[in-house]
Formats: sequence, C-alpha cells, structure tokens
Amino acid sequence: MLEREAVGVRRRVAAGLMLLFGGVVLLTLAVRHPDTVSWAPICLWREATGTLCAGCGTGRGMHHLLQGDLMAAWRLNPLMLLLGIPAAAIVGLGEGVVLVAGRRIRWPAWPSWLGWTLLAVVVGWWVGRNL
Amino acid sequence: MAQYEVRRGSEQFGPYDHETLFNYYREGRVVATDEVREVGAAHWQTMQQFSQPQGMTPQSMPPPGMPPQGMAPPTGQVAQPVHVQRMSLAGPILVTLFCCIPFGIVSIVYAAQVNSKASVGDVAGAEESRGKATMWMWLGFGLGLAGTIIYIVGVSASGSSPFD
Ligand SMILES: [Zn+2]
Repeated sequence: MLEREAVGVRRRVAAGLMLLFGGVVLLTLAVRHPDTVSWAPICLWREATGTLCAGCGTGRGMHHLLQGDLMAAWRLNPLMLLLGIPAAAIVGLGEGVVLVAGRRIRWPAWPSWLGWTLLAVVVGWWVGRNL
Repeated sequence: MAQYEVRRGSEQFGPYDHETLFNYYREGRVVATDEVREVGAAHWQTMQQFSQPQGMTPQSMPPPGMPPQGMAPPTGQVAQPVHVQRMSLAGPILVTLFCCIPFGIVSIVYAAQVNSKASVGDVAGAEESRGKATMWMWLGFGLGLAGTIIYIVGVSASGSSPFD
C-alpha cells in the first residue's frame, strides 16, 4: 500500500504547503465567481489565440460545483468533472498521505495505453470544443 | 498486451511486457527466485513457477564476452533488474485542466512515453521522458500558480467581503 522508504521532512512540508494552497484556492473559488474579480487573469492560451484551451472553464466550473450546481459545472467543462476531479483527488490523497504518514502511496502501475488514451481525449476535447 | 511486475524482497521492478521479462530471465537479470505477477493480479508466483508452463528458461550458455559459467558471479550477485520509477498521470492532467496551459499537454505526452519505453526495455529513454514530463509539469504548475495567486489577491483586494 505504502512505499517502504520514508520521505524527507522537506517533502512533508512541501505536501502540507500544497494542500494548504489547494484549500485556499478551493475556498476562494467557492466564495467568488472568477469573472467577478477584475484582476483575475484569463487563460493565456485564450488571450493569445481567441480559442478555448482544454482547461478553459475549470475556474468557473469549480465555483459552480462548490456551490452545488453540478449541471452548470458540466456545461462549462465536462472534462473537469470526468478527469480533473479524479486527478485532483489522486494528487490530494497522495500529498495527504505524505504529510500524515511520511511515505508515498504505492499506486498500481497504469498500462501503457492509458497515457496515450488520455492524451487523445484531452487533445480531442481541446480541438472539438472550438469547432 | 499483458504487463508483468517483478518483486525481489521489498523492491519492485517493471512493469515489463512478456518478451522483455523473458529476455531478462534469459540474461540472468531476473532470476528463478524472483517473484512475478501480471499487473493488477493479486498473487505473486516465483519466476520458476511462472516460466515452467511457458517453456521459458534462464540463460544456460553464457552470452559472448561473458566469463565462462564456472566464473560467473554467485546467484546473490546477479545484475539487478532495471528499475524504472513510475510516472503519475494525475499531475500532468491536473496541470493541463486547472492551470489552463498547453504545457500540461506536453507533460502528458512525455508521461505517456515513460511506460511505453519502459515496457520495451528502453530504460534510459523512459528516465529521460520522465525527467521531461516532470519539468513541463512544474513549468505549467508555476504559470498556473502565478495566475492563481493574482486571482486570490484580487479577491482579497476587491473591497467587499468575499462572503457576501
Ligand atoms: Zn484556457
């Protein structure tokens, strides 16, 4: 379940800071819609090209999700719900275990095709949503 | 194609595809007492049990350039199987979707290469890809971090209570 080797103190501190940062981001997103903050930078890709990137809408989507509006989040970026939240959960759980137990989780190895499939899904979504 | 993990004591190696595992066994990098299982399977079996029904045999003739068998190192000192550190896909995906930048995509490409290269025994290539995937992931995270901090500062500085 966990790796045998313990991580260093600095790695545990880093995990704590990451989780703290994640918590602050979630709290901020929960209370404030990104569009109501005049300083909020919009996506660099969208700024440069005028098209949406694969992640556009995740900030607003998280706001709606945290307010309990699943459908609004889905409309803004379904991939955030399908891939982003599970990925965030994996990273968050991993960092949490590092912080508390001082060891990394030993995840099962993913098969080679999974990486390429996820790449195709993300790129397909990126292109497809702009058509 | 099925992938196999190899365990020696507390150390775990792989995953390798069938052919790579077969080659390592013949070369003596994986030995009969090492344990093996298909990725995702619950139970380990020794390499000896695993290989018998499949007609896999360890190297009996020394490869060219190696000392004759009598001078070969004892079993306890066989070459270590190659250990490729795994690359998580979660970080690159997270950077791609939440940091909103194409750097995450580059990171996914390199992360996907890690397992593909490792499964054909290209250890150096897999390590190189892992390094690049990690580098692009952190670059993307850094950009996203900068943007997020500006957003949080913006919320704090925008006058009215954030809880209104
Ligand atoms: Zn974007």
